Amino acid sequence: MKTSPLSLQNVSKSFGGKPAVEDVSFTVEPGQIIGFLGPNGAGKTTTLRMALGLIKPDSGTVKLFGEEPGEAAFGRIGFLPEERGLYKKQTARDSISHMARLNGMKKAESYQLADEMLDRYGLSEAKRKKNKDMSKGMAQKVQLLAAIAHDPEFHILDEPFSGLDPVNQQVLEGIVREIASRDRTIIFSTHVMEHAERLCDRIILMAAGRKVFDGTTEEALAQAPRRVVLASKDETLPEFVAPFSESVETKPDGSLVLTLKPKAQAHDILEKSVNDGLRLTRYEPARATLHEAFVALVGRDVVETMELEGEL
Amino acid sequence: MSFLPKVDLRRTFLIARRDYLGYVKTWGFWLSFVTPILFGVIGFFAGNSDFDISPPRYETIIDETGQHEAGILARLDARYEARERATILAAATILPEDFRTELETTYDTRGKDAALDLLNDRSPGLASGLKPVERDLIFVDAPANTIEDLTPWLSETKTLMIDGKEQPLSGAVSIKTGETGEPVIAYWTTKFTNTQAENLVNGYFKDLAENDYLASGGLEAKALDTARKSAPEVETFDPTKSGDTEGSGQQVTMTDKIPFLAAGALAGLLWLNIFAGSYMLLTSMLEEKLNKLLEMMLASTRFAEIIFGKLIGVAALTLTAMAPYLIMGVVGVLYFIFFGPDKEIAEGLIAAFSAKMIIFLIIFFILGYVLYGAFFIALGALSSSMQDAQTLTTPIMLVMMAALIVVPIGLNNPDSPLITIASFIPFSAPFAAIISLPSDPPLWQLLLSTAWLALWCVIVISVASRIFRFGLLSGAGLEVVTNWFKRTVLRRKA
Repeated sequence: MKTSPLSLQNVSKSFGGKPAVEDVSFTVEPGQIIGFLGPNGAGKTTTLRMALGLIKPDSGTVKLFGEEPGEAAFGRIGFLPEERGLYKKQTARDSISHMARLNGMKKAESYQLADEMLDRYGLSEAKRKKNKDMSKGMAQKVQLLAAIAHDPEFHILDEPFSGLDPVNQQVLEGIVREIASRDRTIIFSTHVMEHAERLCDRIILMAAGRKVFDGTTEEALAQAPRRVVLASKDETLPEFVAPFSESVETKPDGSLVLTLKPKAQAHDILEKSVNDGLRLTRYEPARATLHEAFVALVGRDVVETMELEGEL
Repeated sequence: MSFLPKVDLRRTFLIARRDYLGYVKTWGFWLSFVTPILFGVIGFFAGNSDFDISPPRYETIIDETGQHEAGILARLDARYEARERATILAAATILPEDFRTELETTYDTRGKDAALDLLNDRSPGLASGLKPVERDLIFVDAPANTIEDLTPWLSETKTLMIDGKEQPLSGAVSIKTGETGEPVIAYWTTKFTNTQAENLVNGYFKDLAENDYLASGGLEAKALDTARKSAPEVETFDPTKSGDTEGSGQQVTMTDKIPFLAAGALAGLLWLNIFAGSYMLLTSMLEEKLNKLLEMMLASTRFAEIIFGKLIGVAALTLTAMAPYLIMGVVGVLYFIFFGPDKEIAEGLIAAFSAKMIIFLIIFFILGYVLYGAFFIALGALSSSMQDAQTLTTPIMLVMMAALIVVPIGLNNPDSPLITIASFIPFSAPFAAIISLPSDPPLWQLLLSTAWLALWCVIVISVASRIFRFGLLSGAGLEVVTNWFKRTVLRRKA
């Protein structure tokens, strides 16, 4: 049986008396892609730093590959920190080679690998370019390649998508999928729910330093309110849907957006309309999104604050 | 528990290598590396070329009294002759003292040519390298008889023709007899920032006044000068040197003085190296922090490896930057030891660069650099901008400047208790220990000073590692320190 790459048990950390992470526990299983979600200040970066042993928790235990975080895990982890940067005067291939060599790779091998990676991810022309002369997106990709060049077992990527344009976000998604296809474990934090929804087997949601959800993407989506859009020429439609709906929103075109009660099912409405002879002109069960699950779990107030701060 | 942090040598080397190459591969580094050499080469060629950075000034004297012009010109000639004498004697500085005395006597008794012949016989290389003293002030006949008539020349609307070339007249000295019979002197020029002629004429009239005063008492200035020259001079003896009871062999010579001078120079060089290295570490650390790359490296590297890697990389960089001077110094010392014409200097240099000096120089360079370097790394990690870094490093810079004071004190008074105390204060120990070496302090004192400094290095590295770790991960700058101070010392909410 493979050792868990990361396990946190009741981990807490405060800075200057202010709690940053409170009683967080989770275990990362080998081969999983985990989305680590939460607003700014939720404690994601602090948790990841504790996972790497860069900062010590005030209480609780952290195990990296079954041991205290530290040198035993050197070479087995690829870490992309939230704040980006490269040595300005280093070339792209030098940057990748340097990190690969720090992770135990031989010089010739590291340069060969750097060239291959840069070719594979469309950065051939940047090989001998100094980092200061590259665009932000290019530099960000080079840093990611430097973090993963040594093909680590466990990838910890802190906000890998932030600052990238949609094209490069897609490229990055491709990289994440490619890493996962080699049976590697990945945990990445993000604000962009769509990426997590598309990529992750598992979601860990943080808010105000606490873990508020930990489960599969489907389980997360199940937390989202279920909606269905209905329309009918029959004026009794609002009374007809009342037993199924927790809330009803009327659209300008007259259609109704129902948020279903916990035990109600969309097909029950369809079945009853057939039985009662109510003719529906529109019946569209809406697919729940992770964003909606997030809102349901964290609360509308928190989400509105985040939206105001541009985090969502 | 290990006292020293564990480090992986390969990773430490890789970090050192990156730091070293990060600077060495830049144009700026090579520019500053080559610039002093370039200046040296330019200076050498300028010195050997006909290019004159200060062409001679042509001036004139209108002496209506008819009494002083010849005296002023004689004084100018005497000044250049004295300069020629000094040049010839200076060329012989590296030759033995006996020869220098003989050369001086020959010059004074038989004249310049005889002295040059003597020097040529002894060292043709030195004699042929001598260049004649060029006159930068030349008096010419006045092209007009009054200052008023000279104005076109002084304002350069008219020029002089000298040796087929047009030359400006830079100034004119006018000497008239005043109403009381005293001379009235005026100096006319448009280039009044140069005061050569003014000083010459002033000196002439002061001498004249002195001669008149001495003559009134029946004395002569020349006789006074001869009397002063014939006064006996103090000879210095060292009782610890072997010699007979009369003191023969115990005279203090250049051989005895050189180790002290060399120790002063080495202590100064050590300070310069440590200062340059520490400052480079600070900027390198700041660059690293602003790069935000360290956090990524920390997933595969120990803190201690980054600190040691930086210390080694920047030390190598400092030594590379200083290499031209170090090589020139070493070559110069070896030349004087093996091929130098003066045995006294060679012996002095051998004594100065003893095995003991070299070993302790290396030890104190390493320890001093580590001590200051670790401080600067920690301060660099706490800074988030160059302004932060400057504010934080000011106190340590002042300490470093204060530590330098041991060099002049040690040169003048090597046995000063201040030097002994300073060799046990970590910040001044490297310089104080080096400057005290020629006085032959007890070995236990040196070893104790080394051990004490080494202990401090370990403490400082340990503290610096914590500050480095905290500063790096806090991401903030100077406010981290002020907040800590408010919270911990002032017990106030930051």
